[in-house]
Amino acid sequence: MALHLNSSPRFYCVLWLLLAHCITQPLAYAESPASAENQVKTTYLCKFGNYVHWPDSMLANPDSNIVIGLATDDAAAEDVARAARGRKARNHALSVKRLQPGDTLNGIHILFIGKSENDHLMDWLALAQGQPILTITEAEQGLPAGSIINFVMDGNRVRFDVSNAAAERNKIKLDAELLSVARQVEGKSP
Amino acid sequence: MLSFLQKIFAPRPPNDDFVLGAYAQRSIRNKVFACVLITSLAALVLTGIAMAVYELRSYRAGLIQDLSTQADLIGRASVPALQFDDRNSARNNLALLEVRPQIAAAALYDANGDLYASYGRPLMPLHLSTAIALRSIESGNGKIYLTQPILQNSEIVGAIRLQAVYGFNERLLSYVGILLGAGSFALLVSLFLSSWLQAKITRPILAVTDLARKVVGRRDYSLRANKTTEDEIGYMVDAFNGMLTEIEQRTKDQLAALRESEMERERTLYISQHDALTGLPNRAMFNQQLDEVLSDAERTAGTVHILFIDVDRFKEINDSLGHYVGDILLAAVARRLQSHVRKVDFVARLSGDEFGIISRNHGRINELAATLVHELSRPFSLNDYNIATSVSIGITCFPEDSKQAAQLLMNADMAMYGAKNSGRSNYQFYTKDLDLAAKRRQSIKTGLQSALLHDELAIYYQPVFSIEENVLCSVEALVRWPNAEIPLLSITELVAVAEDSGLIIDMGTWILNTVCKHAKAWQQQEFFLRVAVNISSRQLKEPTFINMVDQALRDNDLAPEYLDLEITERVLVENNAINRDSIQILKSKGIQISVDDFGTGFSSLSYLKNFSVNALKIDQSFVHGLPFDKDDVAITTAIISLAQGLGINVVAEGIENAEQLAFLRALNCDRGQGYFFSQAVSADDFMASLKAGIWQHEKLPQRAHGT
Repeated sequence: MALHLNSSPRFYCVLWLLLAHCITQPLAYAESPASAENQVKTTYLCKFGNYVHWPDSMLANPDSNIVIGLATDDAAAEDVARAARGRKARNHALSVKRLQPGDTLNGIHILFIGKSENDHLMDWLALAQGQPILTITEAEQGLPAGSIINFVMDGNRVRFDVSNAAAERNKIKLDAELLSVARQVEGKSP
Repeated sequence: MLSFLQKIFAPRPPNDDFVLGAYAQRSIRNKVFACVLITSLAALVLTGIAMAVYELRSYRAGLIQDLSTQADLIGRASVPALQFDDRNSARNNLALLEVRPQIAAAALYDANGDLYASYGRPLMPLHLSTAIALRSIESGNGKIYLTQPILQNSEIVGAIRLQAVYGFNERLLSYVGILLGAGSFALLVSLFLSSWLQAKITRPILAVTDLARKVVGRRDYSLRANKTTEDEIGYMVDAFNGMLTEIEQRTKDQLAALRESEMERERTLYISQHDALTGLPNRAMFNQQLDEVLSDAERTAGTVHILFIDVDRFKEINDSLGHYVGDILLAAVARRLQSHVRKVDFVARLSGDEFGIISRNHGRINELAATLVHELSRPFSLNDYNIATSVSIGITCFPEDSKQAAQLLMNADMAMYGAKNSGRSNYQFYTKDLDLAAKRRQSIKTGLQSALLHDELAIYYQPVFSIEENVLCSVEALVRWPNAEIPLLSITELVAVAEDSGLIIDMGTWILNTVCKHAKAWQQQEFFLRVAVNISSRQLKEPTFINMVDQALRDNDLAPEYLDLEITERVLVENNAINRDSIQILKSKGIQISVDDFGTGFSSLSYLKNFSVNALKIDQSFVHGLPFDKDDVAITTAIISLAQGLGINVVAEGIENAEQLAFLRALNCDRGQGYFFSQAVSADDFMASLKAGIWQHEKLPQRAHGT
């Protein structure tokens, strides 16, 4: 794992990749709208945690992290992991967990289902159904499929729709402030 | 109000002590008002400024607090908008500031410090890159800017900047307005306060001032200020009243002293114008009254009578009964005089026993004078004494006799002398004759003075013979004025004038000295004769008389036995202590005492025993009718037998013929003198006769003075 930098051959390999990424990344952003979109989504992903109220049992210990489960491709997962590093939401440190199909959602607070997993969207959502997990999707039918937050493109701006009903089903509460910046909110507002 | 203020603050004309004067000249009322006004305005302004500063500061703090709260709220609300890049939401958040009119503008910046959304007037573009993490407050130009970062989880997600209109000027204006309103109110309150204070402070002071003015105006020091308070003004009123009491007392004292001195002056005036003994006005006032009455009479063509009244023989009464009785007599005379004149008549005591009356328009002045003479001849009963006296009155009339007061006084005086010379106890009106007589008396007096001064008098000597043996036994000295220019001047008249004028003293001294000198001269020629000298009562009463006699004897080395002093019967009858003592002393020295003019005086003969005189001289008036007039015979016989009975010599005076001498010899009369023997001759002739041996003479033993 790139996050574990204590083995030296891998460390150097990762370092090279990082350097390469750093050099190539600005060019990539400037040249690729998809890259900029992913960047914004990564940022947003790290910030949603601030507007979500989980049941107390989920974050009983102040030292416990808010874990973002990433069901997406490697690039996106890496971007998120990088963006979440050192950040906090609701004064809990953020951490990420790469999820593979078949993984359980134990300890997951936020579940991001990337485009790459849209085919298994229903599976992932079914897995999270009823769990106090904020589900975030970037699928056209994200909300109808039962997602709580679904990224949409409004022109070239990244926006999101929110389903309050889905949040209620998952027994989490969304801040009104979040709702106020959402493009659309389904279900009654709290 | 405005004129009042002008009065208070109007500039004063400059003067020397302007600095003091400008303040000092204002009334306390104005000062109090100014004090109240200045104090309240100062308090008001200071309080106003302090309150304004405090208010503005707290307003600013409140504003900043409000801005801060708003920034927090809006900032927090804007976090999702910033995080999820929702400008609409951000603008909507900012638009909530509409309900805060003091917040004029707001801006939201993203984490990079770039303007994200704004509200109201666009703010100055601001780069927050350096200041985004810092909260800052900027103010100026009536605006306040609050900038503060928007944090989430200690992470800066952006910044918010609010602009508020400070509203300082409006606030200041409103404060000034409030201040002005309160100031006006304070001014009104000051006016009320000052008038109240004036009532409390100025009015009592003004009342005292008014009272002081009243006191000065009316000179009434009995007024008192009313004390209404117990404060400093009360003390002032007390002090003022105390001062008035002091002044009142002092004024009273001064008035009393003034009254006292006025009374004293009146008393002095009264004393200066009145006679203490009789209480009558004195001569000074008599003269003053006379002048007034005369000038008044001149105007009204009235008449004025002036009466000069002299108590007859007062001197004798005074001498014999003492001054005390004399004084009571004078007072009684004054009373009796006053009780018989009209109220309008003016009675005064002029001197000694002399009184004066001024009587205006008296129709019956004769009756008045007669009444006074009659009433005053009634005896007075005084202190166990029954004193018989009388008065002589001289009267003169204005304007008949003279118009001059001085002349009238002289006239009255002369008329009074006339009355005296006419036997006393009567009244006489002034006549021209009296004037002549007075003039004659005056010329006799001045002539006599001159004669004494120039030794023009002469002593003549008339020998006295022993009737039995027809020998010269003594001699009587008689004064003569050989070259007198007064026609028909008798020696009696001369002596009367000399006695009246007092010249008798000098004349007597001269006579005695001359006689002693002559007697000594005779003795030196071996003629030892006793010489008789007439002594007037006035001389005898002179305190120096005895010394004078001694001196004359000693000077001429003459023994007293050769001197015979002839004293009239009247002097002896006066029977007063001085006369008696003097005669006793003279007799004890060896001087002979003879009674002159015996028989003409009073009928009391006791004095003969008292005085034990050496000889009686029968008055020539009795000798004159001898031997045919029965009365004269009887009297002469009686006198001679009396003398013989008493064992004293008797001398008959004025023997003019042999019949008289023969009769006297038959009666055993010792001695005689007269033309029959010899008339009086000059000293030279007498000496010549002695030397010629014309007279046989009886030799007295030879003795010098003091041997």
